[in-house]
Amino acid sequence: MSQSTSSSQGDACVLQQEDFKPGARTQMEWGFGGRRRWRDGALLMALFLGGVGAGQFVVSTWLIDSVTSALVGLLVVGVGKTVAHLMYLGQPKRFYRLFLKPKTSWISRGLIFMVVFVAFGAAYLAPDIGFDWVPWETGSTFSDALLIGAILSASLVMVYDGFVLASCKSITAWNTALMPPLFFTYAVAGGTAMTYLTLIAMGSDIPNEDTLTTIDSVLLVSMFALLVIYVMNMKTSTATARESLRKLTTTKVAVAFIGVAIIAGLLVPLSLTLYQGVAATETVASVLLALSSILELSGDLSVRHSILRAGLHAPVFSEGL
Amino acid sequence: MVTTSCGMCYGTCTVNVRVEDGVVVGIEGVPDSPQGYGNICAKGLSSLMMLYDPSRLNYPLLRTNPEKGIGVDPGWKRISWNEAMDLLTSKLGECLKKDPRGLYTVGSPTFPAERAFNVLCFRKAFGTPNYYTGGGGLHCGNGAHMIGGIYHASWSVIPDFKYCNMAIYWGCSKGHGAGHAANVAAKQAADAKARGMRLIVFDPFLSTQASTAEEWVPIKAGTDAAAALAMANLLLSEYSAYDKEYIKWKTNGPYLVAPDGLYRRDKKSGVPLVWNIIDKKVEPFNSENVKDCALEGEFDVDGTKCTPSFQLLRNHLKKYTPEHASEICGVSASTLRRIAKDFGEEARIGSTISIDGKTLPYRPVASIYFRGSQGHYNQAWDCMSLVLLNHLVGSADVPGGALAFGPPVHLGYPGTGRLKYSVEPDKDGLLVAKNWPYAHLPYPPPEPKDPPERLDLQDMFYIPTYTTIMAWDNNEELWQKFKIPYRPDVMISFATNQIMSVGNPKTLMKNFLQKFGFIASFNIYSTEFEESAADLVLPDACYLERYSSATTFPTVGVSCHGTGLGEWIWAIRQPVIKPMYERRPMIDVILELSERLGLRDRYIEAAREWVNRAYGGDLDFKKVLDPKEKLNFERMLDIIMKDRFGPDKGLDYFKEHGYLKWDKRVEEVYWRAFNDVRVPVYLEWIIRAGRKSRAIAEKYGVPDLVDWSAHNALPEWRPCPTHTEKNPEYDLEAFYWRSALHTYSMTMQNPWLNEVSQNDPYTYTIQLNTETANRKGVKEGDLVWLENSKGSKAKGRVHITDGIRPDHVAIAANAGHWSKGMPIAKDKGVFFNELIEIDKEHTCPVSLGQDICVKVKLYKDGGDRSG
Amino acid sequence: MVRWGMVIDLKRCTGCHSCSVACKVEHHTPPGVFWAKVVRIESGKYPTVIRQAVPLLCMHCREPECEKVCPTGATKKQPDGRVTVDSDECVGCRYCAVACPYGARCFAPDWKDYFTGDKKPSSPYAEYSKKKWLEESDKGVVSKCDFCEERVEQGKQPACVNACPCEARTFGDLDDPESEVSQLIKKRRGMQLHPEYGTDASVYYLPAR
Repeated sequence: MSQSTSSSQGDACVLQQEDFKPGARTQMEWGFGGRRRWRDGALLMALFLGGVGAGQFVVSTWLIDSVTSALVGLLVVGVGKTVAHLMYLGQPKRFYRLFLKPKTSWISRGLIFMVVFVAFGAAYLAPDIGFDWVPWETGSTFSDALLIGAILSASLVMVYDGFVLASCKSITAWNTALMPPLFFTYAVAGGTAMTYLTLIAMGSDIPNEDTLTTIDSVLLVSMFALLVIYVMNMKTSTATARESLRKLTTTKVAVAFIGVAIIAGLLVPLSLTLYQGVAATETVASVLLALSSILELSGDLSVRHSILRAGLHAPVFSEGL
Repeated sequence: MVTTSCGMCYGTCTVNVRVEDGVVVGIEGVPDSPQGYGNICAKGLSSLMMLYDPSRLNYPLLRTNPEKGIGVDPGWKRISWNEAMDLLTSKLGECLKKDPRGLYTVGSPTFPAERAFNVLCFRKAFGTPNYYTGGGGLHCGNGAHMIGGIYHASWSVIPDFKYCNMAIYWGCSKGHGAGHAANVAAKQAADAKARGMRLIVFDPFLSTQASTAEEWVPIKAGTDAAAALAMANLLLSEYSAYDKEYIKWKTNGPYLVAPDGLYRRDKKSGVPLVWNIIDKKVEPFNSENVKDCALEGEFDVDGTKCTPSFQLLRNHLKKYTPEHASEICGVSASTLRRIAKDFGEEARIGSTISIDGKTLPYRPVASIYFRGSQGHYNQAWDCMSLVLLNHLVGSADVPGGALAFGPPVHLGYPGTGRLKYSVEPDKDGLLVAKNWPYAHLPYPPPEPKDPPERLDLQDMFYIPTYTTIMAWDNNEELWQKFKIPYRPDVMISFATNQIMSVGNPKTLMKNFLQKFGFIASFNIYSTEFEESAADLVLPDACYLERYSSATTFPTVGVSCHGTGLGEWIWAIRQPVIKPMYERRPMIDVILELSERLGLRDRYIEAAREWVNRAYGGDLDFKKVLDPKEKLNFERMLDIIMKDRFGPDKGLDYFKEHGYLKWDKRVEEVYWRAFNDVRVPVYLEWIIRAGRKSRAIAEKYGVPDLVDWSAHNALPEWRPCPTHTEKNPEYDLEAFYWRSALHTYSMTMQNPWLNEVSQNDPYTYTIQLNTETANRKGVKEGDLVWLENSKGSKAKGRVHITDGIRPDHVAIAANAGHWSKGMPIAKDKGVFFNELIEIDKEHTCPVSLGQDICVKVKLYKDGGDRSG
Repeated sequence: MVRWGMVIDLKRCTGCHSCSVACKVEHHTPPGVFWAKVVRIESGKYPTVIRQAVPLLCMHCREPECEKVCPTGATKKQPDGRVTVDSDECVGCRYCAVACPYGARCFAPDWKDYFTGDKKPSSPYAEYSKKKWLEESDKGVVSKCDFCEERVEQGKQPACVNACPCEARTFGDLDDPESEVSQLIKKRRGMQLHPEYGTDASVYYLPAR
């Protein structure tokens, strides 16, 4: 009978809401949204932009001394991250309230770091970007102090989201001391990649290229090492962590985690970096550099995405009761 | 705040409904009411969503598409009530002139009190014998009610939660969300388990009750009788754990049976004989001289060797060894032995208890069955076997035992002494119920109609409930052979969805519904039934918008009283707001129709008969009503209330208070000890009654109408069609269960209940054992087909669990809707009925109930997995 | 000082979802928002299987993670032990929802009609619900169980306790050693969920077996 088809469950029907399943429960609020609104994805962008933007600022000011790239980094944080956060909030008009509880909340702390960073960074860059009426000059002691302040607060912006995730006690995949170093390392690497891309786009030479390449390689290797430790940790940890690992390695998330984050974002750039040294021409070298930077950035985004997706709460009720 | 009775299932808890500015905004239980103790379930709470459902029917609708059928668009056209009433009056008027028996009436089992006045009284007034309860054969119980009626003068049994120490549940959920006094029983069962009552659940899957029980015994569907008969055998033969005194004086165990299988009767009085052990002679069972009688042996009665029926039972049961049963039911012999032994020991045969100064037998064990155990080909004997355990150890209607549900004895409302009825013995000394809501009493069997008059031939049998013979493939041939002079003509349906609740919808449509010239349905939604079959749809008021008489009182058909001592309650249902839009309570329409058709007096007479049968007494509406007075339901209710409870307790009293309660008495609750009635361990009368029905069938040339060999006196296990399926491809036994989140199909359209059902892993899925799923390569959430050997199919998503036998699949009933009129219910869950056939092979030959298990093969849907 | 708490007897609970729906009636939560809910736990291999319904709600922890992580101060510990969300102060960052180990918090971007999924109410009752929901909990913020503040103030039991057909729930003062909840916890070895997180939950469970 024709009705037998229509009378059965349509594909539109959600079999069970994740919240009600027994066992580990996926966090649905951050990164992709429990109610699956596209705006909820903005949180991932906020984390990503905050990390790579602050990283870019640090790399650009400390190692390269490129005002343009530093400015880009500052804008990525000051504008990009801020807009992404506002898009994500349920009540964006009340955003100022986010700063009210630095005593206990890592979000408050992180956003204060962000404001401090943007303030110091902007002040530091001001003389170089046309605001020459400010009463300090680049290179002055005061300016150096501003820079130190900016770099310190940028570093905090790069690391705080690791603390945000690590503070969630029931999400075993997050509740680990690896989170802050992992996010920090990714922010530095992402910042380096952003710097490269900015300079290539500007058509400028890359100063300190060898140092940067070495740093990049070290970063890639250490990110790989951190991920390996992270994964091994989960493997030997609780059932929930193992379930997170299963999600990272065998479900759709594996495409992002293994495919994009590890292969495209780590292994390919690493081999490209090695190849780049012996590249025939400079053009080839810079194309390769651009390519590996883009790959690294997508790896950066994917790793944050995968970690958010792998966030599983331990079952509210332990088995056997 | 209005106090009324919830109408989301037949548990009818007393509720306070909050109305703010004409909007119903809240619902709560009434703590003072014994009907729910102030507790309320998810269904009751969801009433608000039913009242304000934008999919509700608000206006009369007329079919414009002359074609009918499943999936055919009816092309509804809104008409006025005047047009609708004119049409209905003319159709019924024609039918009345032609042959009133052409009217077929159907009513919902969820609203027994409304059904009585809406359908039963009108049917009687109109003069048609034809009546079916929506889903009666499928969701209710032919075997269960019949056996409940014969053994407990009640349509079901429930443990005496207060005193019971060990309850065995056979496919039933009393106290775990079932409609039977749902919330009262839920509290009582929880109290009992907290007190330490052991609950042992025989069920193919880990149901709610099984998961909260001390022990889950995964049994194959349809084999309960094999297990129970083996346990009965063990109690009699191995453990000698049976109550001799009970069997001697409360059963027909000592009655002497001749080799022809019938009682040997006293020549003078015609009553059955027993062997007086003291005087060593044969005497009538009720003779004063009989101080002790034989249960075993062989006695000479006028040259014939006669045997006490208990001895026959005992001999008969010998073949049901636990080892033999184990092969059938898949439960190990040692488990059966252990449970039987515990049951026998825990019964504490011989012990007594004193309650309210009355000393009563104390038998704290109960064997309880309902829907699940009776959904089989052998259902009458299945249920008999299960209830037999209670009657062997004497735990029937005594403290701690299996109590009649819908108590058969009420000694009267203290204020007036009215509302009084009790059980009594017939001339054979057997239990006769004094109130029974169905066609006739379960015992004694009525004289069969020759030829039968009803389209389902029910009246040529002795079953006290319904059949689906009217929808068999050969129904026309049967009607011709039995010389039934009329055919289906007009149908009136009250709140049913027959397409979803009778059996295979295709079969029902083709064989039965298509034959009607005109179908009028009163309902709150346009369900699959309205869309497929109805010509005229009338927007009924939902329970919050209408009156009803007593929603609680036992004799209405579905009692909602808790088990054990406590309080009786008479509660009414009253509108908390006026019916919205053009919704009209069906009873108002029926009373108007009766007047229009000139059936006013006959309706009053039918109502009188029903009220007095149901509530006892001698009320006569004619004496109170002015002959010229227009029929008005509120007025009738007022008359009923005042007659029962006195002039100060008319409708106004109930409108204000919602209910009236008074204390139960020991003699009412534990009535068996106070009434000289017996029950049959040997159903001798079924041989006689079966012969009469068979003679009629033979006379009209249908000798094989049913398997007459099952019309016997002793319980047997007989296989279902699923047990004899030879094709190994159909390797899974599919059965359905009732989710506590729903009441049949009515609640599937409720968005709150739908949401919690979606959040529940079981309600909308096919439960499949982990190992079986692995073997078949099926994963959680996979879309699969279940297909029976006749090619009928049902589709659904799999939930993998260890809580089900590897050879079974479980599906929650009544889901899988497709009608446009129920958009929330649409495409949710699995439509199980698609798989079950309405035919002789799936009909119990004794109770004529439906077999609803099916062997299926399971395979993945071709489409992609998603969701 | 009173410290409100709840005891849920798993021996009595049958998982009927009355609590889930009673909470909906009381608090008018829109689709997808459950302040009270029931999860099912299953463990073991056929035929030795344990299946348990576990009703969940906000645990009203003495050391609430949600309150710690909340950047706005919208989540507050009340002197009577309840943990509440001030919907006027919440910005909807959902840190609390992620940090809560018990999944007790819900974020609703907007009110929706149960029948149509629209923002427009489909009936007078839906209109009433919408008004109540926006007043009490608001859209774009996180909401959760407040132990039925209004009812408790009026001396009533929380809606879920009041409805529960199995009477599996008991509500009372944890600081009073003589209260029914304290006695039950003592006598029946009441346990908190995830005590290892140091949350010191105010909802206790009595073991089923």
